[in-house]
Amino acid sequence: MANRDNAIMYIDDEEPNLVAFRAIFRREYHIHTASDADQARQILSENPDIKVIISDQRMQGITGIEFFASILQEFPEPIRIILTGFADQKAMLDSINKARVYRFLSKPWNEHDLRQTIQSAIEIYDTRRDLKRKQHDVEVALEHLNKFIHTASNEMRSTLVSMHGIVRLSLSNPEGVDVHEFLPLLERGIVEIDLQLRNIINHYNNNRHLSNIEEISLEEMVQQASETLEALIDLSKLRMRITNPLQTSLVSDAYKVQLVFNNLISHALNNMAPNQEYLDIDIDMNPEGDGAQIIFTDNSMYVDTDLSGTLFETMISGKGKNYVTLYLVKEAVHNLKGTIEIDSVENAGTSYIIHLPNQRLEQRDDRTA
Amino acid sequence: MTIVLLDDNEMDLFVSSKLLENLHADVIVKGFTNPDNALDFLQADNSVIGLFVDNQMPGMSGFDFLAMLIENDIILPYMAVLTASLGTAERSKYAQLSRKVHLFEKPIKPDQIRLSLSL
Repeated sequence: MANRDNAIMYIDDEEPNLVAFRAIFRREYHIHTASDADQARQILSENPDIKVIISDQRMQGITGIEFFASILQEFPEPIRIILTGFADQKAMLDSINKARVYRFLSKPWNEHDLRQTIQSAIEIYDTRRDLKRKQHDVEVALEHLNKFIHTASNEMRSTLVSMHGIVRLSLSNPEGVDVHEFLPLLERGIVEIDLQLRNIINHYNNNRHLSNIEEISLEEMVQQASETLEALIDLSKLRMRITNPLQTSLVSDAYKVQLVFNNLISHALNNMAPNQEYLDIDIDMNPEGDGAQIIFTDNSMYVDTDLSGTLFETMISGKGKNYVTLYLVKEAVHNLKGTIEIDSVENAGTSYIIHLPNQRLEQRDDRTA
Repeated sequence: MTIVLLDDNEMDLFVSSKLLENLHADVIVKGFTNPDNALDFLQADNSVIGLFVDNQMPGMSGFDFLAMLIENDIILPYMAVLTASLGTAERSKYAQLSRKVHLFEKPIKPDQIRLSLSL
């Protein structure tokens, strides 16, 4: 399909040909024309969106093939088409081997053939670009996965090393050791490793394609999060208040929404200041636009609010322990097509403003079909 | 004989403190999880015979802490770093410091430390 957003360039040292080309194709494409190689290079530099270049073969001072060969390094992406009235075998072979020309058309051109060739060239250009983008996405995802594995392994190993230390201490001084003094520490280590493993499982579930879209009560999600965490962490210091619970329901993926609450609560608990008596969490839920706004506020320690792509590096350098938990929140919100803003103030606490849009109920059928 | 121990991980701090205290009857371990508090103590007390610092801490790494001490002429007879994984990269990094720094993998082996400290 012709599209004026598609930019193409025609090079010919005969002005009437340029005028004719523009007159024929101006309604279908965004057209650039050049009467010599220098002008063509200038246009290419200023218009990196040009998808197809059509060049006359016989021009003063340079052939079309020589021009294409000369720009191959600097502008490798546009698809190249040669027009010539004097097609010989050598020129055709050179065009393919030296200048990576896509098609060789006779001149004067047949409008129908030229149109079809330009269209095919644009499709090839778009496909290549799409493929390149997808390849880049895959590389980024793989890089993230590798860093995730590296970080999670380091964190778990660090906890195991601590537990090993406790065992070594017990073995080094068996008479003076009160086992009961060490058991709570060992239990803490086990819980930490369990949390790390849960993070890995959550990361997998967060990114799986299947999802279960249903109408959910946000209040129930918070209650379920508390019940899940109770089995793992001591919640006796937690004081949680929910504002407007009954007014706000959401059509969404229950698993991911619960993960958001699970991780925000457990992150806050893990970031309580030493000697902090209680962790106060306020959750304000309101219908907003086509979805819900959740304002989650806690009085835990200051957290670095930068959850950009550098998160993993931050963690690996030791600056962001427990940040996998927050990263998974960001990932879940992102997968739910929502937004998250974080604001943290030293000695005051952290607030998260989350907007989650309603998903379409029929998505469940689409996705699980 | 006072040894200062700095580790942000409370479990590791507890374990390493106990292991260091078991080295010798006269050893007293002052443990810190915060670098600023450890620095205040080191500036005020000149009876410290050794310092053990965790390599990986939030905000300020073990390397940064030791570099800061050296830069501020806080000279201790013995300085050591505790790390969960000890490799060539770690050794090269600490070799750049102008003072000798001993490196030990966690959990520490008391005999190895006793030998290194000549206790």
